[in-house]
Amino acid sequence: MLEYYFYGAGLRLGQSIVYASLWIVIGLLIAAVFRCMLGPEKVRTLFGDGTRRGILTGWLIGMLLPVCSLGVIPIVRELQRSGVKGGTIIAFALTAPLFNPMSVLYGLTLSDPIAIICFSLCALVIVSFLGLLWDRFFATPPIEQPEPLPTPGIKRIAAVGHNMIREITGASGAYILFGILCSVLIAVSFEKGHLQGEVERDNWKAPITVAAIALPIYSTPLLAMSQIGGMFQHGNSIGAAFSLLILGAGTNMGLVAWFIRSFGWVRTLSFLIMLAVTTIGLAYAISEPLYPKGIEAAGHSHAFDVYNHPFHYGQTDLSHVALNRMKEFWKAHELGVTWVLGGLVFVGLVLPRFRFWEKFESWIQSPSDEKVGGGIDILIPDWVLGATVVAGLVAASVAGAYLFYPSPDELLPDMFNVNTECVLESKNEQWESAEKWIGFADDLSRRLEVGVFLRNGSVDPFKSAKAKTYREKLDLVKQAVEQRDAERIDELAMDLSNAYTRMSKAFKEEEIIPIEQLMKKRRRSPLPQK
Amino acid sequence: MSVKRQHGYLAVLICMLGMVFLAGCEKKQSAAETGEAKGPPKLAFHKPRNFGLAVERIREIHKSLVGEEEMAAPISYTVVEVNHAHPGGSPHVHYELIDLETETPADGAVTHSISIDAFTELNDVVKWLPNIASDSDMGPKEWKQVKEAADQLTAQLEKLTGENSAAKRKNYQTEAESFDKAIGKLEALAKPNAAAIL
Repeated sequence: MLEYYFYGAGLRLGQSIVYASLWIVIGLLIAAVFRCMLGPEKVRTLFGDGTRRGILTGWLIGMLLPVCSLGVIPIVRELQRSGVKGGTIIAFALTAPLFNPMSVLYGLTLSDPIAIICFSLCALVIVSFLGLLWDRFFATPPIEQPEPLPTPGIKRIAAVGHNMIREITGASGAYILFGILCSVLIAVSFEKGHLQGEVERDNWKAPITVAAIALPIYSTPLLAMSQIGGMFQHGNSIGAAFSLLILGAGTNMGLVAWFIRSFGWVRTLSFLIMLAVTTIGLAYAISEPLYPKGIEAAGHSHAFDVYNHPFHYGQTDLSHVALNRMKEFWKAHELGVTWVLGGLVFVGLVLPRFRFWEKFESWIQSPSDEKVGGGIDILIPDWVLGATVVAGLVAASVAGAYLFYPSPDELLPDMFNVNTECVLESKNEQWESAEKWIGFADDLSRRLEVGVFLRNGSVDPFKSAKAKTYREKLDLVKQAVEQRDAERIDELAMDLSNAYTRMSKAFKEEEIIPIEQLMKKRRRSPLPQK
Repeated sequence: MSVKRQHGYLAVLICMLGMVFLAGCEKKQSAAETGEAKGPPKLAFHKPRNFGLAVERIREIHKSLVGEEEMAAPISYTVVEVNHAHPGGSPHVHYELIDLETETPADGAVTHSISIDAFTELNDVVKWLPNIASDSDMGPKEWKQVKEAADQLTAQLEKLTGENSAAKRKNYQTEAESFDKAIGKLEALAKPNAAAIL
């Protein structure tokens, strides 16, 4: 029993940290840039400084910056310190974890694009409504005396790094850890497979059930978007998918704890209840109109599997299974950023124990004696540097989309290997391993479509149909694997193999579209043709 | 805003939150406990195995609808709910075909009788056509023609009105020629690909 909870929690904790690392590091960097390069006044100006466009600005910047609901914590702390209005902070804090260029692109290929556009607009409605209410009823607290900005040059760059270290080992780190631990606690509290049959279209309680469970869980924008895609594909409740996006990806208990600490219980509870009520209300409103046409309900959903206990009660050899799964997860999802995050934490915990750290801190804060600027050493204003870093992050996020969604030529060789593993492991009745490879194959097939969409501006319906058929075959193999159905698995694995060959052939026959034709096409239709 | 009024709002908000959580976290009761048997989702046991068979089936239904004889009886079959909870597997329900004449469901197993009339079957098979065709070696050009023909047939079928099957059939017969033409297109597409897809 103890093993069941210990290894289950350990695995989920490790997975959450790996998932979150990239977004947390980006969040820390943005917060440090705001603090050390822009300063409170310019941050307020960037976020609309009390104008009516403040909430819209918060929503727009949130849409562009690639952070998750944990990575947003250091940023909102910095926004509050800078005196940005509460409504604008809410708009930013809720939007940034929901959408970024990568997740929106992913979403566009998962269902009818209109559904993702409606989801984005509904998110705008929610953040605007909550932001306006907040600003109407709750005053913005007085601004703290701002610290002087570090001297331009090497000191300013060092100050950015120092601020990142201070935040991750300080209050922001504590909130982030609390958010992850609460999510892990929720995961191990629900048995494996919980909610698989609870989010059907005809279950009127589905949006409420999901809202209640999604609020404390942590999800990254991409993970939430892929699960929403799965819910569309399985014909589950669209209202439940919306609740999962807004409350699952948008909030976590770390963020809630920051709210309580910063604004008090009354304001936080009012905010959470209004958030839940508006989300659930909109979920019911859009559930039927956005239900995809031509989809047959599968009668179950796998969207919540990752938020439940990873093991079945009574499963044996958990230490071995958990370690293996974590190793495989690390290989597939670790991009090097977990080391960066670990490094920041290590430096923040160890180095302040030495005397030179104090000297280093006073050096950063001291005014520079050296002459700055002159000749070719041009003194770049703080706001230009800050804006360049923020714009660079947005550009990196777009460039990251190209790396994350490679072209078919680059992706298909990897996918061939993954598909081969799916087929072989299923045929050899290596059920656990097959389940893992099926998940990877499903993800890669979606990335394949997004990669084409990114480069061509649309995905040919024939190719989409082939990818969809491949995923249907994967789903059938997955069902057989879950049922440990040794009788049918050979035939289904063979079907999967054939479906892969056809999909691969369809995507390899990529037409090279002349640039003029592509521009014309984009002007006519910015969205993928379904 | 006075402190008392704030507390009043807080009480209302806490009650609302409580209701949301109670509704959401209500203990799940099985169908047997509640006495209400939840129907299965849309099942695809009548989905033809390949494009050639699908087109053949559409032609058969079309013939029965435009003919003079009585409409064929609805297809009916029984499915049994199979709840899987293997160690290490994810527990959830699947549906399997069961022949009640030769097989006996396990004690307590939930079965459902499914009945599909000619119009439902025709609609389903037509909607499945692009999907069935994409699970074959059909090329992009032919597949797009199948998609167009299927979309056209779906649109025509959606226009059919009638309070019951007999009335719908009458309306179908008035449009029989255009249905025949669209099915003919599909048959032409099925022939050159027959070797590859059958």
